[in-house]
Amino acid sequence: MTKYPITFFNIVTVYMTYGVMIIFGYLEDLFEKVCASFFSVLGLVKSGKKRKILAPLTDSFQAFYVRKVYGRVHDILNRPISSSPAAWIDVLERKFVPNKVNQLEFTGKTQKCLNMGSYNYLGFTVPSGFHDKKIVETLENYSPAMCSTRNEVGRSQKLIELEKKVAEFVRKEDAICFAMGFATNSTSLPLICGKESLIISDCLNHASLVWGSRSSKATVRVFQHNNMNHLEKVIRNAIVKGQPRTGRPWKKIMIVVEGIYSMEGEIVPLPEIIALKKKYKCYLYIDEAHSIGAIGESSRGVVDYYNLNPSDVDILMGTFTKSFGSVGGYIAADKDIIDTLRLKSYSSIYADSLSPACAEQILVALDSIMDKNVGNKRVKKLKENSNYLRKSLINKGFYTIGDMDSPVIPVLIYCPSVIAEFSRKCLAKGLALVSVGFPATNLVDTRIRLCVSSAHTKSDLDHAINVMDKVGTKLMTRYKLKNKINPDKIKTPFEKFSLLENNPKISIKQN
Amino acid sequence: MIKVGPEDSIPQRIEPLTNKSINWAGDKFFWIFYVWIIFGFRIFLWMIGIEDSAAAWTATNIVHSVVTFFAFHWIKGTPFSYDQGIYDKLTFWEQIDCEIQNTWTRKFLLIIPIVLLLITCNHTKQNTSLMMVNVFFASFVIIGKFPAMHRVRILGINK
Repeated sequence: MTKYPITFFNIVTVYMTYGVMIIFGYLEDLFEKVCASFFSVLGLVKSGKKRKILAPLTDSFQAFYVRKVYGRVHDILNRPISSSPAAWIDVLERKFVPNKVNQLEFTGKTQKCLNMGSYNYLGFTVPSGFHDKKIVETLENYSPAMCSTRNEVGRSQKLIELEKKVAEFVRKEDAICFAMGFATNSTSLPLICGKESLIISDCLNHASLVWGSRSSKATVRVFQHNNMNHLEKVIRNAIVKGQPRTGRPWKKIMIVVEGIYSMEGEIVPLPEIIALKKKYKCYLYIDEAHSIGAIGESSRGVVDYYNLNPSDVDILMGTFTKSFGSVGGYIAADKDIIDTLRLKSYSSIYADSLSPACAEQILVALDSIMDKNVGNKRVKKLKENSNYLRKSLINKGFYTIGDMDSPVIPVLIYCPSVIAEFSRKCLAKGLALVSVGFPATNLVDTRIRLCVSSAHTKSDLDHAINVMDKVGTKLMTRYKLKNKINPDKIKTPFEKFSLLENNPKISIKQN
Repeated sequence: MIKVGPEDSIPQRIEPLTNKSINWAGDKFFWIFYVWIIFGFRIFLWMIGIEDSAAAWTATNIVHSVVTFFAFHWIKGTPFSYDQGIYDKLTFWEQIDCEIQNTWTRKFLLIIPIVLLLITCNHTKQNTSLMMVNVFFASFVIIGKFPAMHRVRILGINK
């Protein structure tokens, strides 16, 4: 659990909020049942006797949670939009229908808000849509969808071009591209780690990595988030004890981490993991969904951020949805691994392959980033924006977590009802936020996650800070006001590990 | 007595808790909140005007037993569906700490109803029938927390 910087009274009120919601939910359910049975006895309402023949549609506990807890606040989640998710966005207004439970209806108005919720790190999403002739030409010359799997007829020329370009960008030998980012993990991990191997994954990994680890026949162990001592203990324990029942040595040990964790905004301590990996001869798989394109001097991800050698990491995975404005994912590794994935990955056998127009969008984006003169402009702007926003929020007294230099800024607001009001008030003032609650985070760690983009100007960020300041003052969520941190004294992850550059076990790439 | 399902996982004491619907039970602030709300209920009864301490403590004990029996030992599974139903046959009590017995969370949650029962018996010394009612209600909650009752369903109820 996170260490709470706020008072005991605040945390107790969070538990009481949940308690009150649950108790009132059960009382309402009880009242409804009593009334329904009363009215059915009087003959005014049909009794539900026939329903006993049919199987229940939902589990009663899950349905209770959806109706009574989630349903009360669900107007702040899944808001429909009517423009492309650029720096400013048009949000369709909704309100609760008067005499019905948990139903929303559109009022017909849209509101132009500052978009701090979309993953638009390098600003390739523009209000006008397509911004390149090449993409429209590709859409006309090639079909919009391949309608076939990769191994049959789905291997288009654009896909081959894209794979070569991605391998060149990430500085690995070869790459394979998939049509869906989630499916990249869930269909490739089963092939990479087989029956007698071990997957050691961070406890806060994304659902796609968890799904892929569970579908593989490998054993899965978990280590505490970003805790290198615990990771070392887990590895040593695994190597000493061997496989669970036979005690034989593992065929391979694969450490699975993410580049930037999207709920915490923290960057993985890569130099330490590489040192551990070399010491114990394990393999490393990094999921760079949020970090590719968004960090690093030449925007090549977390390996570039720490100035390390990409051949030290065995498998680099990433998605094109966050920084490149498209769909799909990729895996980059040595040629023989990629050839096996091309033949045998579940996605190559059963799933549709990437559409050529989407591949063209990624190629255009990559051309723009890899350009020698102006390629770094976007990622530099992103870094300035995210550091400016983070420092300003810390100065105002908000409790932000995550590392400096990362474009994801979670702001902790512990109470679920407060976060619902916060989101609604911010929307009324023209700031569209994403709030994250219980199933995705711990019970009391509900938070607002701001995603900075390089398309945001300084005046946009000032608008965001002002709105959050006003709303935070009114709802009393500026928890760090009393014991302020000096944001200039916070070290970036690169500064923390620059001491390790002299470590002979980690090889630095010679530029 | 019928045992439910095979015991699949070997509990590992070094594994962090990934079951998000349960891992708040080990939080020390939750413990303080739990104790506070029990005494808060007793004080609330005093503020209403119930002067008889035996009746008030009995009421607290019964409400606590009913609510915690329902919450810890009756409801099974997790409130969300993305963990693919692995915990669907386990009650809240059985899911705590990845099914490892005798952790500090379990010890604390076992001590609370015992202490409450002792306080209540102290106040209802003269009234034996009220004391029997107290012991009856509290026994459900206390016996359900013993390690021997892990994954046991008496007479197949709530399987």
